[in-house]
Amino acid sequence: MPTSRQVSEHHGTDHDGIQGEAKGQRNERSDTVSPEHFVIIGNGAAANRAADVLRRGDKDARITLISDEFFHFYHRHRLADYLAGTAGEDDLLVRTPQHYQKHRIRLRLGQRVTRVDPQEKVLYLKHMEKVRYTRLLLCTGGKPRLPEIYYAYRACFTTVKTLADARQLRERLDGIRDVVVVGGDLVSVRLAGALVRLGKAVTFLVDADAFWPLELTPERRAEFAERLTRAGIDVRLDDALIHVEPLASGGYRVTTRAGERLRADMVGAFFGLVPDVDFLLGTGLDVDRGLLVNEYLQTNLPDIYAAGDCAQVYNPALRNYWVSIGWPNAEKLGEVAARNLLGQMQPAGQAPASALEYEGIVVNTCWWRRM
Amino acid sequence: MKGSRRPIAGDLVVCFCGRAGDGARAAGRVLARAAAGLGLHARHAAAFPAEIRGAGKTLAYTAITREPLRGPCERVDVLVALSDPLTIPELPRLNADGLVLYENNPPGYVAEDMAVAGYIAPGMFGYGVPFRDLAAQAESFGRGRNFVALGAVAALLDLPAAAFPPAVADHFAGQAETVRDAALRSFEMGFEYARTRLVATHPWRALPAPDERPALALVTGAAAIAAACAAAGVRLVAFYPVTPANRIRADLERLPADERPVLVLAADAATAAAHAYGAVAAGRSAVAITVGSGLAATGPLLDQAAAAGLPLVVVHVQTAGPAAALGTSTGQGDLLAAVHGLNDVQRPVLAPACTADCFDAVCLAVRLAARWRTPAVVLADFLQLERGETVGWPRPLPDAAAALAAATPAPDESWAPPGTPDGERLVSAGGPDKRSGATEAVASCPIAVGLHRGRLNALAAGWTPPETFGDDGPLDLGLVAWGAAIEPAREALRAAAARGLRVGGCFPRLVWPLQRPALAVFAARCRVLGAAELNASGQLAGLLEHALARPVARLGRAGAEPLTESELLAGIAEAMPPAEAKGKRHE
Amino acid sequence: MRRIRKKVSKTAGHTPKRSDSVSTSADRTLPEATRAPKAGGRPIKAKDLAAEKDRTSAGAGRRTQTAGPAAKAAAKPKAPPKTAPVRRSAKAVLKEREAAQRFQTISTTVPIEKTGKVKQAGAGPKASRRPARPEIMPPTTSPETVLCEADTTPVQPLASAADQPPNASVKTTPPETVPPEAPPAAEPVVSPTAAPPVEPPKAGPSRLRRRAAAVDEAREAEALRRPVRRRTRRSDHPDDFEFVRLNVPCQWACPVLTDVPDYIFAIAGGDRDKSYLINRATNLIPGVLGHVCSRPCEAACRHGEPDLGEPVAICHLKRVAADFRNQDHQWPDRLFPDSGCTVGVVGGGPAGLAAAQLLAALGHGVTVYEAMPRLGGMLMYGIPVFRLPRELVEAEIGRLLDSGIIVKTGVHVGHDITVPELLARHQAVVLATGTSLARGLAIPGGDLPGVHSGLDFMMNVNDGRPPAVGRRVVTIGGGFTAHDCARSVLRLGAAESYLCVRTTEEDLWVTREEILETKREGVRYLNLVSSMQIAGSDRVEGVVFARNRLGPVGKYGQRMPVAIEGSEFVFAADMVIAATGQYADTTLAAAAFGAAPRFDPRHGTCEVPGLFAAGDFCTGAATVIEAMGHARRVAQAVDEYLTGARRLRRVVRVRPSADTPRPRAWDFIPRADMPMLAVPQRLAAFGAVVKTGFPAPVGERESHRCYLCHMKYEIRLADCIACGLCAAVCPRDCIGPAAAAGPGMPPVWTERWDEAAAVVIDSVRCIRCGLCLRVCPTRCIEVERVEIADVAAGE
Repeated sequence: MPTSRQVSEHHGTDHDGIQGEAKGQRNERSDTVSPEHFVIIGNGAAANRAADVLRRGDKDARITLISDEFFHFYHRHRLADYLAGTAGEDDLLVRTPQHYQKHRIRLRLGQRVTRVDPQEKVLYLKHMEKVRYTRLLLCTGGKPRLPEIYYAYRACFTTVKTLADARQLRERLDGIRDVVVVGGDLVSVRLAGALVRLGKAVTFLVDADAFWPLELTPERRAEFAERLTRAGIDVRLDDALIHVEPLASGGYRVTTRAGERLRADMVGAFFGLVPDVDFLLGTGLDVDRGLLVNEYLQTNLPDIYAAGDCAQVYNPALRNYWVSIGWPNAEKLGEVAARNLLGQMQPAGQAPASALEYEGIVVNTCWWRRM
Repeated sequence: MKGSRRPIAGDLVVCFCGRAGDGARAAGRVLARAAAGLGLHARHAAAFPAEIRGAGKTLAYTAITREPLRGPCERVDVLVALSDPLTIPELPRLNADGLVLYENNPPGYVAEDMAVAGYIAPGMFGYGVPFRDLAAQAESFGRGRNFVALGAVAALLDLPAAAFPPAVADHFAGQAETVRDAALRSFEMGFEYARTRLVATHPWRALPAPDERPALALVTGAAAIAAACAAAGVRLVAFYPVTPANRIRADLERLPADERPVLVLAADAATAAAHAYGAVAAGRSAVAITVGSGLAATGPLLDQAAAAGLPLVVVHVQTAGPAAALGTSTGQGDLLAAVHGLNDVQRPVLAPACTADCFDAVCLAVRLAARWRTPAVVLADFLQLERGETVGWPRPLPDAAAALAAATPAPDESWAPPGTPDGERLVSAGGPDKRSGATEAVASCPIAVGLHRGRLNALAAGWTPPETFGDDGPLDLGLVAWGAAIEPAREALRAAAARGLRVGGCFPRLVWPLQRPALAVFAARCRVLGAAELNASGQLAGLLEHALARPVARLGRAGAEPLTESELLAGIAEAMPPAEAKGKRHE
Repeated sequence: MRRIRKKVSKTAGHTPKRSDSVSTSADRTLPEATRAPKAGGRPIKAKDLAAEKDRTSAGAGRRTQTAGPAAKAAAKPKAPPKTAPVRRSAKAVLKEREAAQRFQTISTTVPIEKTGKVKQAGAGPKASRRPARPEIMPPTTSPETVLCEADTTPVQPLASAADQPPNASVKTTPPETVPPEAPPAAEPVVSPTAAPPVEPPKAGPSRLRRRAAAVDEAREAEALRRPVRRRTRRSDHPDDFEFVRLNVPCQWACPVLTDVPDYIFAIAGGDRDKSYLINRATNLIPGVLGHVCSRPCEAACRHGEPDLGEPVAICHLKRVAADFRNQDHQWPDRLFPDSGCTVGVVGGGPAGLAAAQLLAALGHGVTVYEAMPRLGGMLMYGIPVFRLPRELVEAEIGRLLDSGIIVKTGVHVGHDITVPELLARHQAVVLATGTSLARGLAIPGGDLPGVHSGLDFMMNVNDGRPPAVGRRVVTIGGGFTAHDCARSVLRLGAAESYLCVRTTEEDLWVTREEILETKREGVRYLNLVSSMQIAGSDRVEGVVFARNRLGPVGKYGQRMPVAIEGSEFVFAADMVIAATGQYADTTLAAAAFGAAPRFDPRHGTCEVPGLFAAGDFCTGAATVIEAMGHARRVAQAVDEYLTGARRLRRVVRVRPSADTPRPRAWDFIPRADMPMLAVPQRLAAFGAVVKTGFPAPVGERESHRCYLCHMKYEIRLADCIACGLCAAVCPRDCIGPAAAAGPGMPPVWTERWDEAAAVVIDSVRCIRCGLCLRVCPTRCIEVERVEIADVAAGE
């Protein structure tokens, strides 16, 4: 009973033959033909591609996907359309639940990994279940980045990263008239467009810092702004938010660096994504902004790989570390990682030094990419 | 995963699964009460071990529906795991888009596959809720997990929270307020947690309650039996309620003082029967309540009552398996024991199918016993006692009972059986006759028994014909079911008929004496005759075979789990006469 | 004592019966409980336990002395405690009173002078005999009684004579089956044995029987009473220290062993003065530390364990105590009279002052020599004002000097006066000048104008002579100084401030909070870069960096950076601050003795008699609290050197305590964030203190979060009926059946209640919620508070 190890047995040997039942369940569910247990944390493009490749490569291995989102694998980049009402939730779905049953992939949705113990090869889940893995693939993706300077206002900001965010926003949409958007990344641009189409008044603050650590040259910014303007968005170039306060009447008052005071029903903060790897701090994994991996997407610990938006790779061409973002990349990396998990060591190749094209403008940011 | 929220049609079944002591049953009851309060039809039932043992697994089902209740539902829409290892085996019964609530923060880590969360199939919805912590925060000393879970369920199904406090208060009536308040706090905690964290991500919810609210009350079989005792004018109820405990006594005690019979808590079943016997011998109608093997102990007195023509009524709670604190649960194993007395005496046996039946059966038993001067046995079972259903309440005395009452001489008249000189009381076998000693007494035994047999035949003949299912045309298969088997049988036949099979059913409430004419008519329409009952030997089947002189297929099994629609359906398919069945299906 | 153990074993043997008797109630709550039919004295378990006890128990020689009466007592049938509350009527009260009287009369018969003598004997610098094991000693027993019991030889004949026969006659479970814990309920049992004179040597069985009866009554009465009568005891037994190490992680983690739970408890009780004093007794400058401490305690806090939330804001609570206390506390009296010795302390920083204070408290005359015009060292000149208000430093240091410490500021030892001269002037000299020299930037261009050393920069800034800062400033280094520099330049007008770290933020020594605040002010981190050279012809134009990857693990557990070849890039900057570490200026000693003396890092001694080194000067750059902790150790070494005796004795104080006052709900209070000044206001005024401090109510609420780990829950086996209620309500799986358990050893847990020899609380996992206490039907769980304290050896 009193040690976690014993708890399990305690549950096992509990009451009249329960252990038997539970065990029986397990055996019939997770075929333990091969000792391999591939665990993939994440349920995005990289994770799913990896799972498929793994299943193809190893027929009997146990494969588990763990994601703290409740929803099945969906197209993130269509969230804007979903908000705009041009796409329903079903249109977002990439594949049906049956797919996982067919390929005997165990899907753990709405379950969060709180700790990784690389020595014991055990994952600790939020609901106090220990999951043993033989090989681990981290595809945790990104989470909205909020520059620390704005921490004080994080309660006032709206970010849209997951379907849950989108849902909540969609419920609020009717009450929203004026929108102020700060920062700048693909999501923000798409979202601003969608909101305009819904007849909302959108003000976009484009600052030099918007894309840090990448910097937009003034002319790039001007071009960028010009495009946005054409889309019907009210752009404030080289202006930034310095203060937000909620109003008693509902909504917010935004004070800009230029001293302008804007009223808004919603303040969208879009500074791209940062890898969601905080829970890995202290596990012995190399974590900087993302998970530091070598060209084989191997972390510094054996049998642990990373792929997708959470992997940080050194890119000689840029003489810098790079986090390659975006669906195609994620799928590619997921595939490579899966192959390497299966033992065929192949390098990931260089993620494109993401000088990315978006509606004609080249915007340099490692944090987002057109999909 | 369906996108927009959608209501569930038909019954919405919630199942709380935990160890005995986890409060699964309490949660199920309160949920049903709340639903009833909302004007919905509801039923709660539970499968659990004999309480005296305290250990083991408890499954508490609560069905909520807008339409009037039908048979028990097998599929589960919401599964609440109060104990993970015990719940894992239940998961296969969950609907494809079912909802699972599990403990989010148990005291210690468990190995993989010992937690429910690992078994939630794609398409289902699993939500972790920190039952323990919320309960602890509600200051209910780590108890109250069940009410936390209930709160979460209510929020996720979009049931109004306001409906629950009265239900909780009702449940804890007569207990310390602190207990009730702790439960309420726990409920609120769970409701709030789910409302704020989970509802946004959950796609479906229950149908809203209808605006017009039928006058329904949630009544358990035990309460119905208790109420029936009062309604039928029973003056004394004696019982030996220990193994396993049943709630009839408690419900009797809740009756208003002026209706409540005299309650006698006897030291054993035989004594209980003796108390009742004494009462009826003194001209008052009385009921003895026994459980499990207690029926055997009441046997001699039933026979004596038969011989003496005394209306001794025994309400017997069948429990499969030995009683006496060993594993006991529902079952229909006592039919033969109830029918056949020792010295060639037989007894009328009534078996209720649902809560309303429990009420009717007891009323009828008391009445027919008084009318025909015979002992009578009511065969309820453990689940029927525990199960609560929304029924029109208070329930009127059944017409048949009223008719019987009309035909019965006033209770203060002597119980003397017809044909005894001077209407004097016939002293039963062995007892000294106050006039001329033993001889006549001895001589009276066969007379008495013969008389009794005659009364039974008369009783059977005068009884209202049994409920039948299906059209009056010829049938490929006719199914006779009694007691607890009736509801699953009805559902199975309904499903079979929907598949185009020509099937029908006959569901007698008066199981013995057999209503031969009616049964014969029914049997004549059937190419195959079957009997559905929850016992291994097919006790009713045996009686039917003997009575109708034709083979009867046995659709039943022994076991604690009640018969289910699907297994009966399988049984039907098996019992169907092959060729014609196929032909029929093509029509 | 011995008898108590026997009694325990007996009752343990009885346990199953009891559990049966109450099983019906227990069943519902805990099915397992019903499966505990044959617990207790099983031969195998018995052996384990016996072996364990023999290993652990003290004074095994006197085993047999006092076995008999207990055996008798044990033989006497005892009503199950379940019924106790009922029977706690006039009769019970009478018994109690009777027992109490017996206890008084007898215990007073313990010869006083003997006790005194014993104390002396037991309390010497190296007391040969230590008190019997605390765990197995009834907590009620004070060291005196124990010791005198240990020392009274007269006991022997009586006890042995008295006990052999009944021991043989009575059929109880054999003496091996002795669970290690002993019920304080048995307190009165101790006294009779501790009182040899009252009993003539040849005690007939009749008297024995009577005594046994008395003992039994006394025990019952005791079991009924709560809280059990006990006295504070001190222990220096290793197991007790081990217990504190495992169970009070915060206090153990603190270099000066601040009694964290106790002072947080005081705040929770609204007594901030007391809280402040508890702090001050060890860490001297709570207010200052409340601002700048590196908080090793919070890293160790049990509340921060996985799945238990976040650590308690211990440091900020320290500040709450300081912020909201009444002013002008009196320093506690000196521990010892004037020794006539004088000590010179060189350096008025945290280490110097800590050493000075303790030496003064030990009765020596202390003179502090400080080169700078003001005391405080790094507190005054290193840490920027916006992190630590100066008036606070001055106030607390001033109060710290009350204990008659002479201060000479502006004296630069090494120039104005040499160490040998000091040695001539004082009987001992402590060098605590810290690490006053900055490690330069040993790369090409490191000497270009516009390149500053972090230390000098901060000292100038704090001295009110801030240098002109550039527009785009690069700070190299990741320590506290580097962060201070990077934050300061923003306040001094720099437009952009970059912090260049060779590895990752995870490896930085500074607290997460520090990093977050730094970022919030606009400082940006360049991770995984090594500076290769400073670009620029006549002044700084930028820094040439190479990207790093993480290499092997260094000796402090941090990752070593490895530059990636061909990854160099230029980062433009017009000012560079190199905060890459600092080191001690050993020349002042070296000058005098030819070679710099090498100091023993533990006690700061060196080959030169009377010369000591304390704090960073000895150990290399560390945190304030570490420096102070080291200094206190050194001060004791100095005292030992001067007096030839170790006059401070480190003990574990064990005090009886009531139930925890904490409702379970407090365990779910989220950690309070330290309110911070808005960034614009910070940057507007350099002196604006960033952390505005908890308001009193917030502080009190935060103080509620502390589990109070110094509370020690123990199940008194004598009265445990193994009903399992405690295990049922336990929010963490820390209570359960153990096949074997003993002091100093982790319990041998078992799933099977029928194997259980005892129900045990795993105090390392226990979060002191007290639920078990409140549901226990026999009230057999008792609570003590433990803390480490340095007491004067004489006491």
